[in-house]
Amino acid sequence: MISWGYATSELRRRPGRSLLTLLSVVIAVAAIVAVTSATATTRRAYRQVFEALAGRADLQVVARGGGRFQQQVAEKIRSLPDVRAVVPVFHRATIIYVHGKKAKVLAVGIMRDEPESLAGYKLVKGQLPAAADEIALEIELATALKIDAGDDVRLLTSRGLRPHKIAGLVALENAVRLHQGGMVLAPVDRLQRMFNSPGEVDALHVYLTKPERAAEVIAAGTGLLPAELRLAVPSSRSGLAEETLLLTEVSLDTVSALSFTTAVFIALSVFLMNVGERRQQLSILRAVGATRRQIVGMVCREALLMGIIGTLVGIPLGVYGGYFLMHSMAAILQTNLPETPNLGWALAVGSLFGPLTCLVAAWYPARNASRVSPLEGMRPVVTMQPHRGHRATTIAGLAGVLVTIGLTVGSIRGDIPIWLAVIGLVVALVSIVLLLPIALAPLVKLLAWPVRRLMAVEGEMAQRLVLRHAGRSSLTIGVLFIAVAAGVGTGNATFSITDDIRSWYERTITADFLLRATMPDMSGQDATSISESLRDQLTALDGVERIDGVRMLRVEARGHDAILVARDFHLYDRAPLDLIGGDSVAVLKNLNQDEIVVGSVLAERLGVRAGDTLDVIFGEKSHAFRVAGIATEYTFGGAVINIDRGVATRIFNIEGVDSFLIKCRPDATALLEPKLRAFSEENGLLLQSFAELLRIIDSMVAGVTGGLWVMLILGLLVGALGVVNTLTMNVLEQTRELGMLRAIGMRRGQIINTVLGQAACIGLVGILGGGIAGTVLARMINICLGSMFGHYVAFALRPLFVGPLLAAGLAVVMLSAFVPARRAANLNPIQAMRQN
Amino acid sequence: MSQPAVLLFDAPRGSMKYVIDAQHLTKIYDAGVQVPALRGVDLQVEPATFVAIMGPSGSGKSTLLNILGALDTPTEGRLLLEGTDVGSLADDQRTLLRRRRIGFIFQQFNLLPILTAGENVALPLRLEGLRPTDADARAAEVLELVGLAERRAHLPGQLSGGEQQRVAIARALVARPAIILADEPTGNLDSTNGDRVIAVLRQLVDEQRQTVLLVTHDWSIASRADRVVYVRDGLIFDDCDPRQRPPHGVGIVESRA
Repeated sequence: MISWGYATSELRRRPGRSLLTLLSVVIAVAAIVAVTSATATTRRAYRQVFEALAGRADLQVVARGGGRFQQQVAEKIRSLPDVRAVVPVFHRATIIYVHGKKAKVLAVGIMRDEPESLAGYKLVKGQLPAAADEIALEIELATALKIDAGDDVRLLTSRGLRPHKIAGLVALENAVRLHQGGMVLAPVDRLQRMFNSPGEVDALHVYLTKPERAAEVIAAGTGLLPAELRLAVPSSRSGLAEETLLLTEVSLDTVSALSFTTAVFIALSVFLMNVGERRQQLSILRAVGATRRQIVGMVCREALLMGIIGTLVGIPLGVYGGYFLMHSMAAILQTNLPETPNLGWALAVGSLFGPLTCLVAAWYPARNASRVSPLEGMRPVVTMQPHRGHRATTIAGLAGVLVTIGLTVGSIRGDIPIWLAVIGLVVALVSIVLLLPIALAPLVKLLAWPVRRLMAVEGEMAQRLVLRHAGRSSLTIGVLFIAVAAGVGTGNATFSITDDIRSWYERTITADFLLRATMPDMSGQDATSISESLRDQLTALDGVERIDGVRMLRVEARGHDAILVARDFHLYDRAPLDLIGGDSVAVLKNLNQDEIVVGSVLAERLGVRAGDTLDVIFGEKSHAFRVAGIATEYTFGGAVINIDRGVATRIFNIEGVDSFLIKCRPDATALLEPKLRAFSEENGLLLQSFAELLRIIDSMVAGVTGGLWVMLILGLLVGALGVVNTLTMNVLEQTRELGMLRAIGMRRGQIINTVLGQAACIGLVGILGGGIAGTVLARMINICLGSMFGHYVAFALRPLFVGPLLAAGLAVVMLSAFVPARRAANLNPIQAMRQN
Repeated sequence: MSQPAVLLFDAPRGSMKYVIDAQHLTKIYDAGVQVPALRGVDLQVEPATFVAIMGPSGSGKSTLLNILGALDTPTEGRLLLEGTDVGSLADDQRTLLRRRRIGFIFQQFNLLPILTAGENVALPLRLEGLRPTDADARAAEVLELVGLAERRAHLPGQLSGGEQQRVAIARALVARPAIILADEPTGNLDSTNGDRVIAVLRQLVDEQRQTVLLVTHDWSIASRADRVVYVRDGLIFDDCDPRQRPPHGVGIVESRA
């Protein structure tokens, strides 16, 4: 019986090999835990935000299209059997001013006597607001602004800046905040008056005594409500938010899938080497009577032990790495993520991944080793069979390519969900690695051909040593390949999108300044309306050429949520939109004649083309518009409908504006800016110059590209560790041969060159192959984005990004190879030749 | 990289009496406790001599051979190979000395499984920087000499043990070294193949004027040498002409074999 004792003594007797194997398992587990915890935390944060906005109610009443409605219908719902409570929902994004500082906040209406209204908030100081001028403040915001209960602040309302007293401080049980900043609580009726919406609510949250009777309540309640209102089970996210977050979700899925694949490759590679190196020893065991099952069992026990130890070490490292990744993601997504990461799922995945992957990774080579005849295995020279072709892996690889093509085409055509394209990406990368063993020899020879005269015999030796274990080399190449392909692919796609966004912004915003009350909210909440009367005061300022008032409203079109952007298009000569086809002068004319321009993403979702008719629902009003054109749109996930403000006012009876786009007369910009700043300060508004907006976009782009580089560096570091591991294991395995080479006259420098040559072969195939695959991937992402964004995003390969990335990758690989190369060069030839 | 058109190995300057001149070689291994392997060996070998080194296991034969081959360094003592003081050489210089002036044959063959027989033989020349065509041509000549011309393109795994050892001999000969060191080269071979290997080595001494030092336990092999050195407990116990008598210490059965 080959016991656990044998497995543990094996680990102890070969500390070098054991440590390298363990290191690989640790890296793999840490990568999985880090990425899983970071992505799960980000996902949870977003879900929680939208859950917070949608509430935890059993049912909700909302206006079809998302507009406001009178809260008096609450009484009808409250009268239904099984209804426990009905809570009005009223949120407004606004600004708080204190001690010369200002902060963006979300004003939330509460009902002191309704526990469900206060769910999620915990009073930590003072009391809840009761008097007309009282508010409660979120404690984190209060700390940041250095204010406390009892202090006086000013709040921007539809009636201007109004003084308020802080009655108390609350902590959010759900400690998640979007870019709006903190929260301000006030009685709902008071808030409604502050924002000129007496009696109006965004939604009604309905709580049941028996949640399982929701269907009956919906059936009974629907008949009581006017046609423009809907009683339904709340979705955890609004449809609009879902559209907005689609790209983020797909990105998170891609990162998780790539890190998982890389980790599996690392584990497989290291166990292939680990078992391969002991071929002779395992054959001796077979010769003295160990059965195949015992051999496999022994190796698997050892692998399980490695998996458990590696998991125990890898999980804390992964948790630490997860914090780092989370902060990167928070920067990329411009979001505050919770301090407590979502570790449950990550720990479960990591705990299972380590031991299970090690078992599977060890089982395959152990089974192969157990099938070698003992005599063959004990021979001092490894039999080198001529290439028989790797039939099974080749067939699997070709099948994978077909699956990838199917999934990609299906995703592009919209026949299957976009997340299946992520699976396609993983299948593609695995397929390429499966096909590598048959392609490796020609690839290595092709790459070596230009430098064959410089390489001398060391180069030839390096090539042969890499090709000797094509499967193992392919796995290491696979790790590099995936890191580089993912980097080049996502990098190129990122740059394409950011360029497209810049171009879109430059074409769309034709003003010099933007004046608004607060930042627009990605979930589609209304920004604070600005009084129309301010327009006259602005027009009176010297140097102003044009003032375009913009109003944004949530509407519904063919069952999809959208944002209606109403602008003063009649002030322009041509439509200030990034039109996809069509003439901007003709489109502008049509906009002024009750037509609309639909955002590209929404048009793609609805299958709408120029000339079609689209029904738009706002509250109880519905109107059929002719579509004048389709325009590229990035705000609100592209789910935007552009309309002339005059037309929108006439048809939907809207009032006020959310922002003014101010165009200055030529050369008057510098003169006008201080006046506008003074004006915005006086009226509690935000003024941004177009240049400032571009700077904000640039900083967001810098955040995205910074995050991208973080991911690339991490990928390359994992790849480099894989190369160190592979080459060190190669050196261990080649100890006897390297000793012989030293004996017959190979200098230390030549030994170093031989090992570095192996690194160069692995690096060149992995990195150049990854570069090519990354370019193809970038094109695929580009095509998929086209179907997501509803318009073609210009694609261009960026040599200034790809070139340095590939060079850096190769440099990292060569530097990683230096340690094993030195080790090989310092081998004592006599001892090395004695080693089996 | 420079590629000499012809073999330009360092040749000994002037005439010398001994190709190997070992003076009071001592080797002590320190593995926690100090283990003396050689205790002051003096050995001088004239050119074109076939020397067999015999002795019981653990007597220091292999250690002596490793030091004589510049693979190992003595703890004390001096070694002159073709007049060059090996102790004064840096690691790379010792490596070049091995590559150019010494050929090794091992009991385990030690061929590279990734190279064909021809490539294994040509390897020392390629390491020296010779053009592949020149190296291959010379390798073909030497393989012809050991009777394996037709097996040139075979990988070691496709050759028998005897054939692999002959490839190893060819590799040792390819650079025309002055000294060939063979550590039990017939240990893994049957008697027929063993005889063929010894015949080749004998031929090298007689016809090519090369010096062969061979470690063996087999008196029938040692008896075909010009001189037998018997090592025991790290010292040369006897040094004799096998045609006159077996060395003291070799058993009657061994000597009759």
